[in-house]
Amino acid sequence: MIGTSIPMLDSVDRVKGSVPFAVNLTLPEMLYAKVLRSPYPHAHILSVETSAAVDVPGVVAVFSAADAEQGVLPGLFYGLKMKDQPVVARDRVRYVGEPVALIAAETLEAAEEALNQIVVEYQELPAVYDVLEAGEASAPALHDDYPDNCFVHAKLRHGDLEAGFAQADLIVEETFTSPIAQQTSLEPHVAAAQWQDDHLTVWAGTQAPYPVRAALAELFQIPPENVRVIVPPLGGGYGGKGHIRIEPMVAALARKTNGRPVKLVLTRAEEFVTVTKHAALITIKSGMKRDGTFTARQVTLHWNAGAYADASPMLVPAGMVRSLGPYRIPVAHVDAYGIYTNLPPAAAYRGAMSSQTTWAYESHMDTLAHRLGIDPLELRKQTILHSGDEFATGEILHDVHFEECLDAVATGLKKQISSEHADADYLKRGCGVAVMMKSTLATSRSECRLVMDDQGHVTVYTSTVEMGQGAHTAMAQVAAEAVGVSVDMIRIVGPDTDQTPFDSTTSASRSSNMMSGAIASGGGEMKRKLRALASPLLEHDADDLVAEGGGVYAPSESAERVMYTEILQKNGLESIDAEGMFATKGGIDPETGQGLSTPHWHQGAGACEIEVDTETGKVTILHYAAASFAGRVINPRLAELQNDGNVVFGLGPALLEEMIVDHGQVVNANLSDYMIPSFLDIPLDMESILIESGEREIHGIGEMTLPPVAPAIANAIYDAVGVRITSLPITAEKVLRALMEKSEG
Amino acid sequence: MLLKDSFTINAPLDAVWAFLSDVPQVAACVPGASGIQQIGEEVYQGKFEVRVGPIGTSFDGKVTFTERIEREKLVALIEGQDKNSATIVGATFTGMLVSLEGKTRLDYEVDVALRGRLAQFGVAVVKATAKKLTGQFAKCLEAKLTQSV
Repeated sequence: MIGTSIPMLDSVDRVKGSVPFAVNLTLPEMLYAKVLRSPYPHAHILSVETSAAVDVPGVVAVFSAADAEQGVLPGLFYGLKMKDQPVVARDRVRYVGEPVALIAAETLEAAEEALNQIVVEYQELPAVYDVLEAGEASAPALHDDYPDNCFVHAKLRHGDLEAGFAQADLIVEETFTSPIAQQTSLEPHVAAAQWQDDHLTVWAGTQAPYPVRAALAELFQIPPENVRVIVPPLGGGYGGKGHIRIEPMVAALARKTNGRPVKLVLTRAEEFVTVTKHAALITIKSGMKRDGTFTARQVTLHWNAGAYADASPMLVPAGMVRSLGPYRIPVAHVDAYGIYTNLPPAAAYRGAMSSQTTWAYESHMDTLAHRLGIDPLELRKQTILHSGDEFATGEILHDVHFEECLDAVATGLKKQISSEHADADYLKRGCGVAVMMKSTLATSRSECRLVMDDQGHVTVYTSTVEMGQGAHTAMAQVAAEAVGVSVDMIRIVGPDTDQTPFDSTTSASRSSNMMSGAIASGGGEMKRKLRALASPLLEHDADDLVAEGGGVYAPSESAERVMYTEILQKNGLESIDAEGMFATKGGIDPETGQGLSTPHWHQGAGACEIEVDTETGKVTILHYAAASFAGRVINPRLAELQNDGNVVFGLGPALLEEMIVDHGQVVNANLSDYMIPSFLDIPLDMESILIESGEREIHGIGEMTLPPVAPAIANAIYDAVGVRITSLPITAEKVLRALMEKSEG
Repeated sequence: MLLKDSFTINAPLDAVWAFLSDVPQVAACVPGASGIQQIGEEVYQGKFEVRVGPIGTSFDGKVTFTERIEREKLVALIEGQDKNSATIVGATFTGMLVSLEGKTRLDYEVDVALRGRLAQFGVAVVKATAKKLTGQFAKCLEAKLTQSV
């Protein structure tokens, strides 16, 4: 039930390697797809000649933009809010790696051979990669509608900025950068598609089955009911699979295979040009009183969105409210820009936008503390937001526990640190802390269907995606409590849009909250039906009955209890079902950023002790304590693993990860040059803390301890050796360079 | 990717300049180069074979000399394409000669735009290959010049 650490439902399969991941999917008569990609960052396509590719033995279909014009695809363009991205490029390519043509063949080898037979004539155009250069008049415009390459400008206006800064005793402005990086799910993007007349079935490794269905229906101009999206378990998503991505290509290609299914599995190199974490340039300016109270804050964010808008029209405004931090700031202005450049499209990355913004505002927080001569933890605590406070969006906060998160990590770190000192003079130790606040989706909806059979088994039909985070296990625990049966009576089915009801998406750490809410409401409905059916059997009014522990009884007469199975059997029912729904509604004004940005806030903190090798610049994390606010913990073991996993994941962007781009070409598009954390990088001691509250509302915890990692480490480095690193990742080279500059004075 | 290096040849500047101005001679010292033909006043085409990491490539390419300052500087645009590895290369080579008491130092800079499958192997592999080739070229150059002296 809720609160117990049961193993993941598929833990044995995971150990045995028998989880049916999409990457392993095979279908009868299945064809293999390959993608011809642009070698140029920006070019006109003068011609695409595919006839030689068609003649390669084993090739079944070739798809290029010309096919769209011949009616295979009614429209060529798709996108979440802005339909600016072609399924394959037609007259222009905008980044190295952009799809230009597709092959379906009997074997991968034949598909690869056919790729070499396609001749594309390009005329190279000037390209731009930097967000500030993209705004200059001399820069090429990627899309004609946006001559300055800025396609979204989100604004937050709360109070009089000039007056706020005028009241300050101290004004500090700093700029922080975060590079483009990879979500790096172990399983790459995978999709398979099959057409039967005007019905499309897609097997997709996606976090968003229903949005993918809607987008495909729109693209092919068929009713959504004609599209079936089936989602096998994912080998990780981390936001990279959060939106429609490779599915349109596969579905378009499958239109030309006479009903045979086609499957596309991206290589790791293709992963690097399919979706990235936004690079960010963040300038943050704060006005402070001597006593450590804020008078004003101004934040300017330039998000490098790459060549197409993708999720940025939603993420840039979300990142705006995630850029201020959990502090009492009476006056706040934020400008957030989404900028096109000739790089692969960017989208959500675990802790979406908060991973970049927390890096900025929490590094900056320590600078303010040092300039004011106040302990960094104390400064945070004295200005931290509490329930009942007003945030810069105008919303009144409820159930927020940022201070508890901070206290928990500070205490947790103290417990880990022994009194021992570094082994040598050239090794310097320091401690750092950071806290984060992140909104979830303001408006979203989760639905589910529960079916109980006459043996008492309950099947939960849910479109929540299992991607290793343990969502299906948590949902089973919630369902067990909601219906009043033991967890081994619960079976989870889904996602399959022909079977499982609507859900907005498995992202933004929303499932534990939203889908749990839907299951709780469905469970309540099922119990109501069970009580009504038991009423004549127990000769009591249904309202006087209680359903729990697998049976219904009247509390006034404790002896008699009729089991659920018996209720169904005596009523001659094979099964009963119930539907559940949980929805939230909100939103902010695009001109002022005022409104309801989230139904509740995600909260997390981290503290660490690190050691800097002053001769090499290498940073070693000795101890790390991480806390997230869970409201009510469903499964303590899985929740702790989420906290720990986030910290280890966060070490990558903090210390190692950066996509290196040369003339538009990603030159470290493999996992030997692009480093992600290994077991050897994990801190010696790690503590995971889960914070619950009296309100007992279940909160998501999928991202909360990641964003604090980088600033906590940077703050610890400052504490150890007095240098402030302002660009991620914090490589040994950067630390050493900063130390040399400091010693040169 | 910017490749920047220099090497010193045990020969006087005049001899080095004369050698560098003779494209077929230079080509004979470039490891893997073959079939060099002049197709324009300052334009040459040919084939260039090189192994980069595990991949064997064969580039069909063109070199255009865009600037020559007698005994001092040489600038060339290099364009090439290898169909098998679906790789396109575009590079600007700038070479500067410095006289050092009877020896000559060649400082060079190559701004390379490498695109396609080969580029995915990472800068380290490409740089290591470039370094190796330059070393071989320098050795060949010196050997030829010292023979002729």
